[in-house]
Amino acid sequence: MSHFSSSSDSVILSCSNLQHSITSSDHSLSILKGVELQLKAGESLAISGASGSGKTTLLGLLAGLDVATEGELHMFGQSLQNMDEEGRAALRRQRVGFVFQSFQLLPTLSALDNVLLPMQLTGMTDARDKSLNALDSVGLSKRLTHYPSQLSGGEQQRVALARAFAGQPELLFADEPTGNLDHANGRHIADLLFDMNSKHGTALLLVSHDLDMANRCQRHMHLRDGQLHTDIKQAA
Amino acid sequence: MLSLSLRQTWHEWKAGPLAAIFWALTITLAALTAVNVTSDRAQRTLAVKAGELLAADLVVTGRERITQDIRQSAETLGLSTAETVSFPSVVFAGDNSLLVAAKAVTNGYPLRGQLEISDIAYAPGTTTDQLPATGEVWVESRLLTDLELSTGDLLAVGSNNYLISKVLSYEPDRAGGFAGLSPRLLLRVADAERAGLLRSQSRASWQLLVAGAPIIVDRFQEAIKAQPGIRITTPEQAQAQSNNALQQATQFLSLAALCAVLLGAAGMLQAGRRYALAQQQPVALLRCFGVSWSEILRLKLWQLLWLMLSACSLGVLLGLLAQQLLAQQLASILSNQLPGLAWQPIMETVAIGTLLLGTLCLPRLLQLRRQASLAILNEVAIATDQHWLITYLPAFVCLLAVSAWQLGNLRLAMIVLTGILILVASLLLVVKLVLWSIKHLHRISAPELRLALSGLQRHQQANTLHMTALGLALIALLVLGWVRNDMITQWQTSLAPDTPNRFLINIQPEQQQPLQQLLQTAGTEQLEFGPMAVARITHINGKPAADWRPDANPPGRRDGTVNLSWRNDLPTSNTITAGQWFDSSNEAVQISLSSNWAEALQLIPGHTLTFQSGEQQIQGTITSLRDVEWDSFNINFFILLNPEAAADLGFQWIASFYLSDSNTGLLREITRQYPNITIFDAQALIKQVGELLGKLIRALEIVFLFTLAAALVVLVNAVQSGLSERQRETAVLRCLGVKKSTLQRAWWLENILLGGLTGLLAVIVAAGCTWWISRDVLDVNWQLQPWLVAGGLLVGLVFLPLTTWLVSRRSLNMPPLAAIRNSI
Ligand SMILES: Nc1ncnc2c1ncn2[C@@H]1O[C@H](COP(=O)(O)OP(=O)(O)O)[C@@H](O)[C@H]1O
Ligand SMILES: [Mg+2]
Repeated sequence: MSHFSSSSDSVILSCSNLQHSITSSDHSLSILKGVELQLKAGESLAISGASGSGKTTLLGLLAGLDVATEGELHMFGQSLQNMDEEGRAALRRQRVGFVFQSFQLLPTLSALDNVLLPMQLTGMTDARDKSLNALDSVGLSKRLTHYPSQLSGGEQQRVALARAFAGQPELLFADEPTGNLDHANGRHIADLLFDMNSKHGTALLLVSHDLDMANRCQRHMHLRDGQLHTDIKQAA
Repeated sequence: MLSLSLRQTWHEWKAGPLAAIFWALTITLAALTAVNVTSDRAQRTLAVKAGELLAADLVVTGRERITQDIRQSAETLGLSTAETVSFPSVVFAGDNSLLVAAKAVTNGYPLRGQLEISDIAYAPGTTTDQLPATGEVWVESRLLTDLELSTGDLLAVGSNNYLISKVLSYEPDRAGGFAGLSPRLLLRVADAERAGLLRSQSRASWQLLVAGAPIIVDRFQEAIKAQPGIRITTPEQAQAQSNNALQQATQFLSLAALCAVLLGAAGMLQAGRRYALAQQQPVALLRCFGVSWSEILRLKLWQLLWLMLSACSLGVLLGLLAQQLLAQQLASILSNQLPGLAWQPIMETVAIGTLLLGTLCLPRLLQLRRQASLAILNEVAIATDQHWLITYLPAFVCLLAVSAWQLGNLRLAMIVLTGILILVASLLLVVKLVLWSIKHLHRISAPELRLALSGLQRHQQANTLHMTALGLALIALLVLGWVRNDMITQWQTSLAPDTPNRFLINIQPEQQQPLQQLLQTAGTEQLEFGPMAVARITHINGKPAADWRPDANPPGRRDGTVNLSWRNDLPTSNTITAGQWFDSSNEAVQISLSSNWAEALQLIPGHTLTFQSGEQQIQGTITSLRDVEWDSFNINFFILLNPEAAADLGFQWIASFYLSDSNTGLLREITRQYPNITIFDAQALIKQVGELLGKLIRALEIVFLFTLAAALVVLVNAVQSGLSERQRETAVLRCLGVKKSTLQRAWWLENILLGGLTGLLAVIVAAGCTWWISRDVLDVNWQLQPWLVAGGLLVGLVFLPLTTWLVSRRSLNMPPLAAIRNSI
């Protein structure tokens, strides 16, 4: 935990002139056209934008799930552009968490096992205690043995939050975490997310078109025409 | 990783595909274990030293007692010798009679290997150097159970009674061979002579057993090999022969097991694909969290290992149970008891199982390596498929290797695999065609039927799988049932109620008159006597017979002798196919040949034949060819002469008559008075053949049970894989306001239609297969079997819908909301 505070103003994620285009058989679609971004440790940043503007694509690139066509990208001080998929995965290991719009729990595993499995596989110590704590902090300590099909959407997303925070990552990527939930449930998830974020001092990169939620972040940027614009807070 | 992978396996088990892989593998392993362990046990009866298979280092066989000259030349060379003579005989105990394979031996037998005996039937034997004492016989267990006797009882053999002193449980020179139809009776040559059993025995096979130093045995063989009327057998030849027979039998079982293996493999391939699909999301997710591919792979490999271990344990266990049943059937067919279990075939089976799992399921899992973690964020970015060759080539190569190894024959394996591929391909084609043509039945108004028909169309891929899976299994079972019935009816119809059912051979000329009187007064019907002589064909068309078509392989005995007879009229079960029946005004030697015998030697009317029979030599011209109904149970001969031609031949009489079963006292009387006469009881023979057939069929049925189970796995798997699509569809239709009952009726209709079509298709294919098998393989009459046809259709109509219902019941009854939520 100590290194979070000691490196509190160091940049853990940055990109410059990030471009991405997708070529299908006949034509090429340019989604990102030179994105510039910096995220410091413990900082929270919201990216909003219209549906189809490329938010998810950007998040995938920043997390190293895909390789950009053009540009520089650094995570934890290392350049992602020249790494292979294995190398990028190794960089994420135990340091990066995810929350997805569609929860992405494994249907064959109970709530507890869903939180536990990634930690066990990445060789985290005290995985079980950490999982139990995390599930407790999202208020699901009574539903440990329940399967995703037995949980409501909101509960599923709480399990996903527990999974994301249990390993105490330095950086959390969240892609429309409330996108599939009704208003009340969405609020509850957002509260939990920001609570846990401030408690753990995790850097947060949140993608959402929900302005309420975006405004709760320290910084808020807008993706339009393939580029990030910083002026959104004033405009809103 | 150990407990993690174990837990993971358990969690994923409930989802379906992993369980399907498990069951497919288990059944495959069970079928392989059952057949391979049984064959191994049977084959190991052959594992005695080559010399023991002959009970000697060299055997001289002849139709008459091997001459004093030959025996003496062996003895002067310092070789040890013994004699045996084998012949069929009927024995009696109380009111029961039984045809036995008698073998009389002299001191010294067996020269190599040892006999094993026991005191009670079917007990394990102990080795002995003794032989039955004078006045005693040793018998095979089967004889005791058939005649309801035990050791210490008396048995009437020929004109004497003998004490059954021991049960004969092992004979080295019968090892691995088939017991044939009749149980063994062992006695001394002197006793057999005393009982009159050997007097002019035309069915006897005499053997001189010889043993000694190899060089001397070789010298002896050199010295006698030019002698006429004898055949020399070396241990190597004996081994090759018995190996051959066993191999054919076990190959038959292997072929049946292969059906289960191939269906199981199909199930594994199919379930492996489903499993890999279901693993796409978890793998992508874990990659997001930074888990390396090697860790994921290790987890998956551990899971496969657990699957493998549990499937092996259960499969081998089931296989061993089935093996016990199989061995029981086989042991009663083979002459000797089977040796115990060995580890090797079990280990080999487990190795094959590992190989199958590795080649059928692993390539699919390895494909997950290319699973982009991006897919978690973006539905569009789905993993690209690898080339189909990478997925299917290892599977095909492995299956080919397993088939070849299993059948011990690469060519046969290729033929079988190609045949099955063609069968599956044509089945798929026909199914597609049928489903396609249903498209054009749109003018039906009943909503259920319209829904059902369009359902058949909509779920084409799943339906094709269902039909192929059930179709293949049905075809296999129908073919088995069909062939079995064909064979059984063939045997039953071959003996009409009033046709002769008892045959006497070996009747000496002076015995004919009194015997005829005895038979007539005893109330036999259809009594008929005929002469029979044994002859050797020396010349064909003036050339030495050996030079005429040297490659030809005419039916009948291999020692060059044939039985012939003579008569004025054409036998009733014969028809002339070429030439003219005997011209009674012509005194010249006229010959009529059975057409199959003539064809084998490429003989036609006008050719000449020269026979040697005893001292007599006869030359004559072939004047006609006859088609003979060999299965008519009349006395038939390859060669018939006109009576004038045979005037000087030495001969015996043979007799045929009908005797009701209640009158067996007469048979006993005949053996007592004329011990040299051999009685053939056609009724008993048919019964014995039927029993043998029954045992083989039962063995096959046991193996086919596994085929059925494998087919069930494939079917269930097919149903499961189409389930989520169906669920979503049902939910959407329900949401759109279609009534639940309408949907249910449509569902049943669709599945009944599907099953009916499958049944129909299977019946048609099975009929075609059996028609071919009957005609080209078994040489029996093909018959339409209404019960099997009805059964096949019924199974299709009932079994498929019912199984599908059982598998998908829960999800079909799900409220539409839940179904839709589940499918998001
Ligand atoms: N692999 C892909 N193939 C084709 N088009 C894609 C692919 N990934 C994203 N796109 C397109 O790029 C655009 C941006 O998508 P996305 O990043 O998911 O937007 P957002 O998350 O902002 O709604 C969309 O128009 C989408 O259709
Ligand atoms: Mg998106």
